[in-house]
Amino acid sequence: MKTHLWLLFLKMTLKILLGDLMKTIKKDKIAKLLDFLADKYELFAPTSKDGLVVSFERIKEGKQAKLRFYNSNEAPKKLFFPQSETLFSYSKGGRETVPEPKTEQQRIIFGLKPCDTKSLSLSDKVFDTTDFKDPYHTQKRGNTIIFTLACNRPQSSCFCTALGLGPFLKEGADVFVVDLDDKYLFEPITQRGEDLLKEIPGLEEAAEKDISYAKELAGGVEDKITTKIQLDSLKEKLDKIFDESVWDEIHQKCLGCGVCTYLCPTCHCFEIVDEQVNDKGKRIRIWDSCMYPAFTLEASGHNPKPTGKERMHQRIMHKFNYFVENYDEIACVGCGRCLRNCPACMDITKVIEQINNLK
Amino acid sequence: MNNPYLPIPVRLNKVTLENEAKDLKTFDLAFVNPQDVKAFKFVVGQFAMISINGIGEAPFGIASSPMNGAVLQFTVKRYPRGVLTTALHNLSAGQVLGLRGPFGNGYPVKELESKNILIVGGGFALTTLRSLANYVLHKKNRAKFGKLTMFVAARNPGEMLYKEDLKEWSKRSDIEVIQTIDNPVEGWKGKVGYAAPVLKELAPCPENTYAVVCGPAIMIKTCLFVLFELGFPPERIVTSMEMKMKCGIGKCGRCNIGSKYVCIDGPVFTHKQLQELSGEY
Amino acid sequence: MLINEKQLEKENIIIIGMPCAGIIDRKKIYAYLGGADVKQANIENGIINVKGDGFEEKLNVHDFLHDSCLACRYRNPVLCDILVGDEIPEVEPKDEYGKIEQLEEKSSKERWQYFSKELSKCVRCYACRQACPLCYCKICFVDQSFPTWFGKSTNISDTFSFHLVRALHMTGRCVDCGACVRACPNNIDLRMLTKKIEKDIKELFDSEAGISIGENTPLASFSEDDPQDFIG
Repeated sequence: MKTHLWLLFLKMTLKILLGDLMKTIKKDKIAKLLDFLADKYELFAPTSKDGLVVSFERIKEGKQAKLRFYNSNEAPKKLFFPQSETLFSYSKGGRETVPEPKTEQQRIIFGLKPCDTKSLSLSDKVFDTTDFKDPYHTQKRGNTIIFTLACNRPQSSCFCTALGLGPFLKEGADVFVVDLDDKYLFEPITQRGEDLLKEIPGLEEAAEKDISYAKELAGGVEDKITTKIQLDSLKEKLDKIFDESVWDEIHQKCLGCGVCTYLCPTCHCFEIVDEQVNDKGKRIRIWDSCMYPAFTLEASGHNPKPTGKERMHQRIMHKFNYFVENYDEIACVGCGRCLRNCPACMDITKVIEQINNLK
Repeated sequence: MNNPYLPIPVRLNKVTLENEAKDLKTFDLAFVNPQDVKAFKFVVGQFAMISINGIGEAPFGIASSPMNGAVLQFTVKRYPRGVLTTALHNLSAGQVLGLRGPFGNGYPVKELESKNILIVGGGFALTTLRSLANYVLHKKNRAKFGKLTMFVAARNPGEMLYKEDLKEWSKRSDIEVIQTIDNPVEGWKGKVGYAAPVLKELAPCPENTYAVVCGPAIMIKTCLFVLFELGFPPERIVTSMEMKMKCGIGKCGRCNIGSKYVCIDGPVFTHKQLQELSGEY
Repeated sequence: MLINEKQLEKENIIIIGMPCAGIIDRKKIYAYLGGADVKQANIENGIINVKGDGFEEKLNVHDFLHDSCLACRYRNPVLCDILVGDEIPEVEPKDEYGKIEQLEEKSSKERWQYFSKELSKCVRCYACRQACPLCYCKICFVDQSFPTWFGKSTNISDTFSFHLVRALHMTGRCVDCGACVRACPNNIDLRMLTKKIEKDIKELFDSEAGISIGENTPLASFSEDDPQDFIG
């Protein structure tokens, strides 16, 4: 009798240690799983209208999700920090202000890549501060459960590993999902991820071979990332080179179009404007870019960053120096959106190499 | 959750025209809701974001002392290209505006205790310096500080800001007031000359003294040079920076000098801190 | 164009020109390959060799040229002091206004829907404006605050205003370089607006932008026999 109980206890402990909480679902059933989630939550998943350009949108049906993709064209930051967001509205000759109603609805984002998931943690450092918590961003973050999808096929423009991240990074996920060819493996990372998995019908226990296959995929994928850059001493280097003529060279090709900042998952600069029609109006927050000349233009006409050179300097410094100084992390996740979309074919990895090579 | 983007309603009680060129006005703002009065605790040198719904929002240094907290005063210069400043200058008493704040780090009043304070102000940058002077002069505080010198420069007597305050201060024995104008004007009894050479002539003693300098860039630059020559070390030269701001709370990314945001790490910096920031200053 | 608009003085510059047979539209290749990740590519004798994980293809350069290159009449520089390389034969564009004509035939409701769909993709990044060689205003109308002409958010009405007004500002000036479309991160076909205006200008005023020095753009000049039948 005692032996029997002991064996049971051992079995349970082993099950937990061996990832008994992990579940799997066959690929042909994923649409139904997503249907289930879409019924109970606001579900966001990668979709594609033309079969190519992927974008994270709200879906009502699981079949709308496109789960085999490199990455979305636009960064999913728009789900937490939309291009235009009303801060409050006002009426009655501008005297009464009415704060925007808070979003109560629970949301799920399914299929976020590890780089984008990490970018959310980075943006938290800006928006979720003790002194001045940003209610719009933090509320959405609190209401959203994230299913991070591991990246089995990094693109040639990806370089997350150079930043100490990786295609199988679980940081920031509530549930970590791995594509095992014929099925998906779900690993709960947080308590609410685990609780949610318990709600979902039709999940199977993960088999040993599933778990080990996932490990195998994780082991082999980092080699697929071919862009390698050194970031160890970059901050120190950047500290010293404000006046160097290298900045003249670096900014020359740049058009100042701002596409890099708009597509970047960690860029968070914004502008606040009032828009009014007759007696009703609202104060809204809209994306802005440090690459625009008017970004720092003062009413007196003075502009502390008058040319593209200062603005390019600002962008690189902010991501690889200032953010590091303030938060001990680089504000870049290596997603490659900036270099894929730059109309002048600028490449931030080449800029970093150029800086690293300075004596 | 306290929403730092929502403005508190304030009523414009009084508008005072400050200069002959008619582009500087002081606004007295009072909180519409009594609970906001108690909640708004600020230190000298902080600023607030003032907005008019439908027009816009901008940062302005608080010109009144925290010792009389019920009414806040701001002095605003109207810029022809400034949408908000122009709208503010067209307001009349009774209208309601929005206020967010207090923001920023303020002057290091604790550090200034038992030190001498040399205030160097030019043009309309005198706003928060006036707040500092009135704070130090308040009977509850005066004993904590050493000698107080107020050195003010303006283009001509008509452009001198806070004429009433200057008059009152000049009568007191616990503050020395020196005023200078660019060119001689009949009837002017103060000094004549640009700020830097007059400051050099005055040769204030740097011992145990902090210099608090605010003014147009060229004035700051030339006066800094004089202060260095006189022996003021960079950690005892304090200044208040200005940048275009939108959020005022360190999130919109535009007001940084190096890794510091002027709205949360500043606007007050010692010269030593500025020298250490990325070379942009 | 920039010389005609007095932004540059011909005497102060030396123009080094080279003939251009067109640039490749990466997005067309991407679409053709179904989104596959191209790891290597080169061009040899009119063939683009693309290689990626598990695939290798040879593509005909002409099939993947940018739309503005397919409509180009002036492959040799219309003005230069030094020509690098030999002149290449000019090609009559096969279907210069085909897509425009198709749109013209649609009803006004259908056209509205088409543009609403396209422009709803716009995130107001202004890359099109920055990339455009002829957008050189010190302060663009969208950035003006005195007065504020229209809003900066992605409200569709404001977005429409931006693109329509910008297209109108390009009237008689746009040379169809295609930089705006290449710069757009969301693949909005801005040439549907600018090419249509180019077609109208050609038909109404028999004028083409940037072909010769000294020509005034139609909207910057007035002649008594300018067509007037479209004035109501």
